[in-house]
Amino acid sequence: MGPLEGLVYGFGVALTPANLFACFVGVLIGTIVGVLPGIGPVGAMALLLPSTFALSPTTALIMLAGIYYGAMYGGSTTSILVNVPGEAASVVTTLDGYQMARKGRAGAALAVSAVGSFVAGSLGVVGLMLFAAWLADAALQFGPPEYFALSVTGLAVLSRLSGGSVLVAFAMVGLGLAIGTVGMEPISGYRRFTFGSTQLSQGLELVPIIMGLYGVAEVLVLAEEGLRRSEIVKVRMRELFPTREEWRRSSWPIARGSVVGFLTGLVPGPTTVLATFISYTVERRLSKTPERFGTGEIEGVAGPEAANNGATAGAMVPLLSLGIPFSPATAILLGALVIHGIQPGPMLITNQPAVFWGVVASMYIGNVLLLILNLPLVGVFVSILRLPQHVLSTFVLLLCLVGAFSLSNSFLDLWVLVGMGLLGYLFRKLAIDPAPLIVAVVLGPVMEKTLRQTLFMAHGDWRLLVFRPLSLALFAIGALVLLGPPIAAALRRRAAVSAPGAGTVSP
Amino acid sequence: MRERAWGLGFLAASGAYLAAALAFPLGDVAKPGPGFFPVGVGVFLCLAAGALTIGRRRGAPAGAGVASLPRDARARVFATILGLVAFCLLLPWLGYPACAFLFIALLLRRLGDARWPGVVITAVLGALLSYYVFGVLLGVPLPSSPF
Repeated sequence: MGPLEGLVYGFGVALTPANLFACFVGVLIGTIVGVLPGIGPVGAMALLLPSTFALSPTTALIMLAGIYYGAMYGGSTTSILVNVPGEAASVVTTLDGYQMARKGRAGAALAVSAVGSFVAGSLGVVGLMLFAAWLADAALQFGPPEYFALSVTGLAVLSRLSGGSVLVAFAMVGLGLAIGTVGMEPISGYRRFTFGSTQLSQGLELVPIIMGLYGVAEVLVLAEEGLRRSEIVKVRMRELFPTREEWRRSSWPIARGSVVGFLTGLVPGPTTVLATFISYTVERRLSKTPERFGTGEIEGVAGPEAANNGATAGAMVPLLSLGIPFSPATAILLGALVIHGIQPGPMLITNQPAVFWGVVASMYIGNVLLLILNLPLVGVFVSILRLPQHVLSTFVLLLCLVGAFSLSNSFLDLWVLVGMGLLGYLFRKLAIDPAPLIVAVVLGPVMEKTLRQTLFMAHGDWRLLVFRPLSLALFAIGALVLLGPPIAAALRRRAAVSAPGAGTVSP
Repeated sequence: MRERAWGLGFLAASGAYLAAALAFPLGDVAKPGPGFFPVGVGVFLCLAAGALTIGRRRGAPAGAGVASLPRDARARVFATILGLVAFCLLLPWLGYPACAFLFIALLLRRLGDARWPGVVITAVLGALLSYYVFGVLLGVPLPSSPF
């Protein structure tokens, strides 16, 4: 099935009443989650995963994907109106968005942000459609050594990009891999680290781990702050129209942000956040008045807001074409596929065209719905911020507890949720990003299976792991990303020391 | 000092994981057994934990660190953790509606400034409504009562 044919088929799937409703619910929840500081898209997706069990796989994935990209729209609202980013990918928007609001241009900032998100989201889906199908065809040539190399490289790149110390990120990867070894091992069914428990032999569920590390940990951090009241800038409907000059200045940043976002989304890591920072830096560099950034420049809103939406589409490419998630959000989508009995991987497009093309088409529809929802209803979404924080936190925790229990009606999942919540809170206090841990929990079993399959195939000759052309290229990319920055820094230091006049103090 | 303790604790946990992994059949490179991958992970964890501990001893940057909290904030965090642990412990014995009521009441009272009548009404409504949605409509077999 070609892209155009596939898309027509996908619209047939996505426009059925059930899928259309799921898309609407997903983007609505995503917008609300994006507006609310505290619970992010990852926590919300994990929270709602159990409620999708009764749905068909396509409907479930359409709804969860809607939450993911819908949150990027909602996040900008609080950044612009309250100076509080609803989620991490909207932090950059506070710099110029809130300053625009203080100058009475909140409506223009919101409109440019929504339109930029729409354009980037739609362009990103075109990229996803073309790129994923091509990559899935190429991935049919992958064997266990290539999958092992891809997993290792993915984790290495994620460790470099996740922010903070690489050593800490490595420790998180190790912890995630260790968690992934609990339960029956994938080849012989041998039980490991189960301590005689039947429940543990099934392994630890991904969802309570994510809900704990993100949802519970976030509520514990909010509990520190106690009661909080937000000052909200009011926006009238007639103010939602940017001037012709503002449109002209926003058009290229939106186009650049869309491309930067999509390409950033393809690599492992917190790509929605990275994309916004890259886009902001690009716009500042290209600006004739970079010193005015941070004082309410519309380019500083348009570029990053387009970039974070482009990145959500980019992040779906490795998930849908290779069956490998490079971020916690796509790990949940993978979990949803597996729970619904769908084998992720390059055959997904061929074997489950309704799922792939249905989700792709629903993303077009979702972007239109988000544009319709986000502009006229901005006042309604902002009023959610008037809900008392402690009431919201209490019910988020209750939902986490019920959600964790409902996965397999197991009390063990409740304890995993609470334990991971405490661990996540500790990570927050130590400024540690748990994303590498989550991705490692998902990739650990893949790595173990492909490593052992390769060694079986090669009768113990480890060179098969490394010296197949694609494996070698992937390992080289991983090594370059990991070792490149410290080597470059060392070379710069050496050059600075050996430069004439180095070490002398100028008068 | 506290961060070094965390580092040493992590190193000890990594060592314990490696020791447990060594008890599984290891196999060899041609026929790796169930212990092959966990042992590799254990070695990786120990190296990472060791490097972290040494790095911090040498004064390498270690993130934001655990800042001490004001007493009020600590009390709210403690109440939230207590609520979560109590929910997990009591759910099999008291059933969901009673546990949810106690959980909501405790957190509304400790995290906010609501008065008792409002707390009780919200907790009763929250417990019953969530039980109806999850237990009845969505069919989650939540423990209903101890009797």
